[in-house]
Amino acid sequence: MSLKIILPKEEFKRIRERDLSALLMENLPKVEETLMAEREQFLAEKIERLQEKLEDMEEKLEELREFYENALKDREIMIKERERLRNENDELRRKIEEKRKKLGEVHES
Amino acid sequence: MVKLVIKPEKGFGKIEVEIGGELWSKIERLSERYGVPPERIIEIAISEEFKEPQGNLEKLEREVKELEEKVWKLEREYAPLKFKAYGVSEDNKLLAIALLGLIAENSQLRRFSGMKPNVNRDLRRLISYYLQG
Repeated sequence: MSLKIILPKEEFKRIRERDLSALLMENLPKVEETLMAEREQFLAEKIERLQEKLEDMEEKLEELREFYENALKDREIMIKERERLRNENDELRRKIEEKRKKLGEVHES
Repeated sequence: MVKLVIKPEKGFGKIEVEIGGELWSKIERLSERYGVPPERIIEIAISEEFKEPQGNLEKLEREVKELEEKVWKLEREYAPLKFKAYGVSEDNKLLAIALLGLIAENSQLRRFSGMKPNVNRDLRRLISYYLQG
């Protein structure tokens, strides 16, 4: 197995004469600390994004709840109004029909 | 043994190093633990540009988990509610269409009966709201 790393020219020059195995072994604890610090930074950014998302979701959910509640109320109003209009129209139709009949009877006599 | 080849970005030359078993297993352990490739670990070690952690990793991990759970909970609530709201809204659309017909019929019947038309502005607003949506 082999690994290949490309370094900037200056960096390459700097380490050319050094004992790389010793350098790596010596620096590993600090590498771990660096990785830990990077993970902390990554998590802090993730927390910020999640908090924004959470606020956004809460807002959207609140709007949706309000819309749903209103739609339910509106449905009740419209169902009642439909019944009222159906009854009123039936009643009006019946009265008009009665009038027509009466007029017909008067006409015949 | 793992062979490490380092080359400069520009120019010639290369450094070849054999990484011993102990060193390699330490590099692999870090690679797995932090989810970064071994090359990145070697690059950091070589560059010697280190950062210091604040020591709150566990707290941050916990906070992320809690926030993810909260977001997930809201998402679980949102999807079915949206579905229900859509259903009611569609019902209202059909009701609005039916009401339009009934109102037209009512106006005509009232006219025949010599009555004034009954204009319910709130209801008309409701109907046009659902017919537009």
